Amino acid sequence: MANPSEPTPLVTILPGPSAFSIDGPPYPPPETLNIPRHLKYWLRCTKTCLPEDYTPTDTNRMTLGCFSISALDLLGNLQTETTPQERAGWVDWLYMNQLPGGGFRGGPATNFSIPGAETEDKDDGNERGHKYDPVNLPACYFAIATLVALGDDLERLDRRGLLKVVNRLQREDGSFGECLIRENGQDKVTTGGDMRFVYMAAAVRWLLRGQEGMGCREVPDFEVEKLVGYIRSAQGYDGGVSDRELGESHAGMTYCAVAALSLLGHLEDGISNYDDLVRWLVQRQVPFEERHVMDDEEWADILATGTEAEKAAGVEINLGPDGKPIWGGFHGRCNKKADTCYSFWIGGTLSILKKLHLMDLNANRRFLLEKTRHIIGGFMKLPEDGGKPDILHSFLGLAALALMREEGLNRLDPALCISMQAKERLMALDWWKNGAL
Amino acid sequence: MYQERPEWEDVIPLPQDDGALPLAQIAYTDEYAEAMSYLRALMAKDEHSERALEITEHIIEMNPAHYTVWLYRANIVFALGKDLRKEVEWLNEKALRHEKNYQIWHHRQLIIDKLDDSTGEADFIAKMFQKDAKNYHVWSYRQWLVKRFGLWEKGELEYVEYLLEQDVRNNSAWSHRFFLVCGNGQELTEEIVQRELGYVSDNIFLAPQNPSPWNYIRGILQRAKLPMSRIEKTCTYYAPLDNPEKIKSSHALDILAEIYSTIPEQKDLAIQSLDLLSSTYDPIRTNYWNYRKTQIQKAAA
Repeated sequence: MANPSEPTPLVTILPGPSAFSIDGPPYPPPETLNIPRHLKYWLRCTKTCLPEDYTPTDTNRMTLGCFSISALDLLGNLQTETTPQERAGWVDWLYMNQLPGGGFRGGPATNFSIPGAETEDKDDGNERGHKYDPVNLPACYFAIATLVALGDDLERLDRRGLLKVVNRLQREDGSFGECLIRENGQDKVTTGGDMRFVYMAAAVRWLLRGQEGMGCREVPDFEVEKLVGYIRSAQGYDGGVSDRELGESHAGMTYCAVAALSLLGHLEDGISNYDDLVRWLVQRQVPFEERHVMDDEEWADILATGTEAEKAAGVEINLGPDGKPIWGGFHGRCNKKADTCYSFWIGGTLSILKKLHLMDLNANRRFLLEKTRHIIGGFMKLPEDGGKPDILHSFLGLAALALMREEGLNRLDPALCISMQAKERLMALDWWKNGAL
Repeated sequence: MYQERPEWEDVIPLPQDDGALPLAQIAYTDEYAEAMSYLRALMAKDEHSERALEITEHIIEMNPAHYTVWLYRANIVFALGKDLRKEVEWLNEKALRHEKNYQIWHHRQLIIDKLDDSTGEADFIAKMFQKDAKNYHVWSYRQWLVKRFGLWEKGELEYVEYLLEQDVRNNSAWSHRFFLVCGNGQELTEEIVQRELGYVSDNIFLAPQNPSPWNYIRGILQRAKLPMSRIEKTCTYYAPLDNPEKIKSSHALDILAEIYSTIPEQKDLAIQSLDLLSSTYDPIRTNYWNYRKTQIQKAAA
């Protein structure tokens, strides 16, 4: 490397100790999780209509439903704050979205099988219902996770059909697609090359077959080795995982990959560089920077092309008495902003690797409880004034806190992303123990 | 409203059946609820017509993440023999408005693949990058284009350098550079390694605390099976252990610890680097730096 033997003076300085403020605001005591407020938020999400801003999630309602029920489960209020009738009604609604032949749709928006409907499916010999109402892999996972959280015994689940569908969603390269569509008598797997669907397939397999894949053997397993190979090829040069070979490492994709490997029992051989993975994960934690008043545009310019001295002068990092940043959340990619959901994607991955203690738990906890929690309950995406809580970030914020054993929250299984009680209830079901279909 | 328009008179709308106790029920606007009922009626029959195309556009505007409306639209476009160039133009405007949507990019991939021509794509992507040069979907799409149309040496590297001039901290651009340098089966010759070392060196000089080029060069050296000690001098330049006050990069310290940990006589320097990170230069990761120290001690024992 072109390294001058005689160092020339540098124009830049490290935003090191000099940028840390010791005479900033007085060191505040940590806040705690306001359980009643979060409960109120989640009861509103489950018992009243969501605002119209949720329209772009209309075909992913299984996801929203799962986060809402799981949040109540983590808060320990699912049994006390909802009635048996309500829970039974939700179970019925979930099964209403099960498709003939197995698998689930993402929500009732694509259901055409309405009495009196005039349908003419041009797909000859389609045994699976309408081609524009296909099985959606994420919906399959979220539906089962919600059913398990609601205490359902999965007796009405077409387990055989579901496992067959999952197998058909696997692609040549080992990855999985999102939807299975029958067109002109042929399977068509739409969209994919995406680690999210890989995770969903591995999670559904675990929920029905267990880690060794021993359950429900009448339906052959999908190609586990191929899937592991796909994940292995997606580890990037910096140690993180992306959605494909040589893509940019991303915390969400990394969680999906590592969780899938753990659910398949392939953590050992599915990651080529374990040390770099851990390094990449812990490097995603960033001190919370209090920005000095400055025009947004001006700040964006400094972030892009400014020197490090200019950058350091624009922000302040508050240190606690232990010399560490008081607040520190996680970002999903190198040089991006911290966002609530990455506390889970990174925390969950570290948890699976049994390395959660390597992060600054205190700074992460305080980032969530003091910077992104919302006054009405729930969590916002970013620590911004005027932000709104949303279901995804509100659930993942709680889930991240549950991983860190926040007082008042039930424990969470980091790979399945369901509560420990829900997981134990599933594993105690007769058919599950016997590995039967 | 569709129900008032004569050209929709023959369509019997299919309302949504949400059951008795739905989860995640959304307070739809009347406009969306009605349009969805008419869309369902047409999709149920798989009608390929101008009005079907029109209603897919209407729904996509309100809910671009609807996963089968895109498939339906593609089928209509192909069945009616529509001008695919026009479809791409239409998509441009949608993509600029719904930046976070990924179905749009999948649809685009389908159309461009069918057109078998990537003319104009680089210009459009440049427009997207003006809004957000780190958009994950757009980068995935760009890498698909490079592979599909063999654009490895068609100005890609120059474009990455242009983007890094705009923002040296754009990790997506660094990652794309790695894809270009290593993704086409080329061997990492000494000549290429030298070129990359030089490029990285210049960019580290601009911002020593920027993690992207440090991660990048570690990756290149690993891939070329070269020892990390190739950049020892650069690291000591930005992190002189004999003069800790002059340290300008925590990433240089991190790599120094890695280099020294493999040499028994220099183990103490590795420990010193990790201590500096923990106490002063990167205290949020104290637990991790201590873990690295334990690993070195374990390896020595």
